[in-house]
Amino acid sequence: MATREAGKKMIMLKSPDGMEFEVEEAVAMESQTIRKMIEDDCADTAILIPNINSKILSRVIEYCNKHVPTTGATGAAASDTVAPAALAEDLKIWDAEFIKVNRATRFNLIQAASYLNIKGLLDLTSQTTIDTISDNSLEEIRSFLSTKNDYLPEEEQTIRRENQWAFQ
Amino acid sequence: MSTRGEMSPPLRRTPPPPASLPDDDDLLREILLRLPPRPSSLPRASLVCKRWRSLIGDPRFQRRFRGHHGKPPLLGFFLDEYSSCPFVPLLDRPDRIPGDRFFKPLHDGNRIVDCRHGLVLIFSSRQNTWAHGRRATYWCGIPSPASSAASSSHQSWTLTRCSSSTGRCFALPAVTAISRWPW
Repeated sequence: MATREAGKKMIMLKSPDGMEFEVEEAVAMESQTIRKMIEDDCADTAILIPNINSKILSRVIEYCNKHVPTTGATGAAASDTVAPAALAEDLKIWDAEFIKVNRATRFNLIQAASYLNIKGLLDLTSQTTIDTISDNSLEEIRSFLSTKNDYLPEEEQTIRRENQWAFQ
Repeated sequence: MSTRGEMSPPLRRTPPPPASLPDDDDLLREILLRLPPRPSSLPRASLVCKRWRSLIGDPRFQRRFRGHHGKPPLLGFFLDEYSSCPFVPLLDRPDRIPGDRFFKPLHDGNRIVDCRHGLVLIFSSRQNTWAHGRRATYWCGIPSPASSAASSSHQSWTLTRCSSSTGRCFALPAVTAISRWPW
C-alpha cells in the first residue's frame, strides 16, 4: 500500500516468506521492474516480490537505500553539495563491504538484481563473481561454480587445439 | 519426549548443497559478459562446459561483449615490410596471438598501407592478387585470431596506430566482422 510518511511516499514490498518492507518510493524505484509497476499504477497494494526471500530482499533494499540519490532539507541533491568524486569513492568503499558475502548469498543477489532490474547491483554482483574466478584454472572455476565438465576428453582436446595460443 | 543417550552419535549437521549459479542462461550471460576483455578470455571460458561454450559462441553475446567493454586491448601492430608475417604481437601469454593465426603472408608486391575498422588497406602492384583485386589498392578484412572456433569466431580487438623506428608502421583501429571473410 502506498502511504505518506514525513512527506515521502512509501511503498510496501512483500517477500514470499511473508515479510513486509516499507520503503520510500524513490528507493523502491531504483528497481526498474518496480518503477514500471508504479508508473503503470500497479502498486496500490503491497508489491509481492516473487522468488526473493526476506533475507535477500532486505539486502537489496539496503543496497538501494545507499544508492538512491539523496536530497537534503532544502530539496537540493546531495550531489550538489558533495563532490561527485567523493560520493563515488564512498559508494565504491561501501559496495566492497556490501559484497563480502558467501557464494550462495551472492548468487541470490545476482538473481534478485536481474529480476528487479537494478543495474548497479547486477554489475557489482556479476563483476565480483567474475573477478573471483577469472584468474583461476578451469578446474577451480568449475569447482567454485559447482559446474560439471561435460566434455569428452577428445572434445576438450579439439577445443584446445582450435585456440592453442589461449591455453599456453 | 525422547532424549539422546550418552552413546548416541554426535549430532551431525547435513552440509548445505554447494552454492551454484541460478540455472538461468540470461543470468549466466550477464556474468560472462564481465569476463576481462583479454583475447584469451572467451576461448578459455568456453572450455568450462558445453553450456558456457554455447552461450559464448552466440554472435549476439559477442556483440554485447564488445559493446560492454568498449575499447578493445592493443594486440600488436603491422610492420610495413616484406616478411612472412608482418604482424608483431605485443601481449604476453596466454593473450599473445601468433600473427600467422589471423593474417596471411603478403605476396610479393603487396604492401600494407593502412588499417582501420577491421580492414587492412593493401597496395598491390599486381592485379587480382587477393579477394577483390581489380584496383591496385584495396581493403581486406582481417580474420579473427580464433576463426576456427565456433565459440569465438567473432571476437573483435583493436590495434591502434603507432610508429616504429624500423620503418612505416601501420596499426589496426578495429578488427571486426571477421566471419565474413573466407580465411
